[in-house]
Order: sequence, then C-alpha cells, then structure tokens
Amino acid sequence: MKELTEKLWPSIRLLIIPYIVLIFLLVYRIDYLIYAPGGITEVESVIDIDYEVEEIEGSISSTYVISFKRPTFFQFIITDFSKYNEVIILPEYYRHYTDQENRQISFLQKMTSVDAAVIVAYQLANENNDEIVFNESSTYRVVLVTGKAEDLSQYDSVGLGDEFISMVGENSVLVTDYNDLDDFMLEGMTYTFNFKNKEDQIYQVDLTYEDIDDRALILTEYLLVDESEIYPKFTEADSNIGGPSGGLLQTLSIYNHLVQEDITKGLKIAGTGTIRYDGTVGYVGGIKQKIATAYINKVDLFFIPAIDERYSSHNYLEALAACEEFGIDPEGWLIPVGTIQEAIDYLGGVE
Amino acid sequence: MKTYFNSWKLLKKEVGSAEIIDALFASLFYSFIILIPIILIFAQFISMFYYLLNLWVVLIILVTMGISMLQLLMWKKTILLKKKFVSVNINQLLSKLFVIYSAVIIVVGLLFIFVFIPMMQI
Repeated sequence: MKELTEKLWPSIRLLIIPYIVLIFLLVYRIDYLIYAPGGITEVESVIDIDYEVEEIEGSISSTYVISFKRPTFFQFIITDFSKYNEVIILPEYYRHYTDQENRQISFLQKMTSVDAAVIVAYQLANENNDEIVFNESSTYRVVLVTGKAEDLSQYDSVGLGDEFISMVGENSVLVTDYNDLDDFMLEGMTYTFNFKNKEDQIYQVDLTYEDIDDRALILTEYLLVDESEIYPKFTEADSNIGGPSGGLLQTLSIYNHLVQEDITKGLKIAGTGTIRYDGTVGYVGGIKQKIATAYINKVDLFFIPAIDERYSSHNYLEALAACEEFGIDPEGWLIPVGTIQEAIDYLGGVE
Repeated sequence: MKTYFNSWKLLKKEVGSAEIIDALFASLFYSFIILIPIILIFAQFISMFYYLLNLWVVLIILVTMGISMLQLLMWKKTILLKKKFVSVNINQLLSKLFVIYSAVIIVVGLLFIFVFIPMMQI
C-alpha cells in the first residue's frame, strides 16, 4: 500500500481538489425538477383480468417518464444534452418531502388510479357484457392522507396514505365526514383525530384547527374497489412505476379484457391522461417527454387529454408543439380524447 | 492450468503472501477511489437518458473491464515496487485473470440486457 501511495502521490496531489469538486457535483442536490423520457408499459403485464376473451392482437401501454425531484448539480448540467429533457423549479409544496415520501405519494396515486380505472372499465363493460358483475356495492369510499405541509403540527405522526376515520370535535361530537371538520372545530383548539394505517391499526393524533383550516393536512376522498363484489377478479402486479397518469390507458386495457371485440385492431396503442370516476380524462405533466417516449418506442397512436377549458395550459397543445419539435406528423397519431368513451369510439372507427 | 498455479506458487515464494495481499488491497483501494465517481456518473446519466439504457449497460461493461484491467496493472506495479526482480511472468498471470474477470462482467452485463432490464420495465 505504502509503495503504491508513494508512487501515485504526485498524481493524487494534483487530482485531489478536482476529485472533491466532482464528488460535490455528483452528490449535492438542488431544488429543481427534471422530466426525462422513460418507457412504455403494457397494461396487461401489470393488471391481470381473470376472464377469457378473444385473442388480443395489439397492445395497450401506459407511458411513463422519469421525474427527478431535487437532482444533483451533475444531473442538472447533463440534462441540457438532450432535447427531450426539461427542467423546472421544484414547486414550493414539494420541497420538504423526502425521497421516500415522494415515492409513497406516487404509489398512492397509482393505487387509486388503478381502482378508478377498474371502476370505469367495469361499469362500461357491464353495459355491453351481462357476465360482468359491477354494482353499487362494488365500491366503497375512503378519505386518505395525500399530502402534508411542512408546518403540520404532528408531521411525523400522520402517515401518507393512511385513512381518516373520525375526529372528536367540539362537545365530543364524533365527526366522520371530513367535509364537516371545520364545523366542529374552534380556532386555536386541538382535537383528536383517528386514522387507520396500512396495517389496519387505528391510531390517534392531536391536530390543531389551523392544521385543517390552512390545509396543512391534505385529505382526499377516493372510491376503492371491493374485490369480493365484482366479477371477474383482477390482480395487480408489483410495479416500480407510480403516478396517476396511466389511468386512461389502464381503463382502455381493462375494458378490452372484459368485452369480446378486440378494440386494439392489432395496433400498438399508448397514451397518457388520468381517469376520473365519471369517465372523463384529466391532465398530466411531462407531456413533451411522454411524446418523446412514445416516438422512441414506435407506437401507432397516442391518446392525449383533449382541451379542457378549466385549465390554463393544455396538454394537447403541448403535445402538438412536441410533435413539431421532434418531426412527428400528429395527423392520425396524436388523438385528443375528453372521455374514455371517445377513445373507445375512435378505436371502433379505425379500419 | 497446472503451470498457471505453479507460477502463482513461485510468485508467492519469491515475493511472499503478505506482500502479494498487501499489493492486492492497495490496487483495490485505488480502483475503488476511481470507481466511486464513475458509478455516480453512470447512475446519473442513466436516470437522465433512461431510454438509452441498453447503450449504458454496454458502456458500463466496457468501463468495468477497463477498471478491472487498471486494478490488475496497479497490482502488478505494487508487486514490482516491493520486489524489483521477479522471475515469474506476472503479465501472463494477470492477463489470464483479466480474461476471467471480463467473462464474468460480460455475462452479468448480458443478463441485465436480456433478463433483468425487460423484467424491470413493468
């Protein structure tokens, strides 16, 4: 060891400062968000429907992008080498989340998105196929913790994805509807909340009026699927891809596995967009990178959320700009849809 | 094969086990110092250019082979710094070791390209 160190010492002395600088660039993280192209995932490899249908000739895939919250200096520098990548300043409300919390949020969004896709697809298929069982008792409502602000009084005591059960409000009233929380709370007071964690254990946390009034604790209501009340059954494979943006394509794929006619017509179909319980399609982020991903993976057509006047910037217009930048002809390739029914109708008209 | 092991035995006799192992650790230590930023650089390039994943794996295979060669060269250099005149042909000894290292690296790399990466993409 000594001999080699002595031999290399002149080089070590020369390189030690550049080496430390390089390591600093590689480990120091900054408050930006980078979107880069990812890949496409065939939905049937993630959601398996236990039902016999005719052979499906084409494929339906969701598109994922790599989103890097708080990249290193080095990542920030190299991201400029690709025309597909995009850098934005990390939104204020995201900055305090750890990597693990970001993953939890992402997988919570994915889990609820898959359930929304199942609900919409089964309801639609139920209209065309009598064998599909889906009714009012096939779903149940939950209120989940989907976000926590940095100034939440009991930040570490409440888990992301945990279920809100009730609050013991003024005059010991038990409030179970989260919309009514404000009505049973007084400014400056603290109240006991009951939550259920992923292991189905109930725990109590004392939260202040301000935690709720200032939305330091973000609660969101979801519909989840009661698997004992539906036919056919479905299983969801473990996946390392999170987020809700695969909802539209998941719904299409599940629907295709529940009806006899193959809606893919042998095409390689991809796209992006969230799915709402009423079958409408919601906006997503990372459009430019998703278009690039679909282009790299040579898909035949790409579904995108249609223009929705409730938003200020539009996914479809971003997608058109991306197509122009990458030299893609959007005619017949980029298909804007406002609802799942529009996507099914479009595929029905494809020769 | 027998000649190969005999050469190692002869080297052990001439230089000494402790010295050979010390030289090995020295070469591993400095290779590791070089490896750290390379791992970080590759990880970050992969994260930003994920769609070129197979290309990155090929480059990782080549770079890993380069580093293993560097480690073996440093091992040889240290042995020669410890004992100037050695009758055994160290180059021949280490080049066989390099072939084994390279075979393992290539097999693992190909496993990634054809098995693990397709499995990960769900």
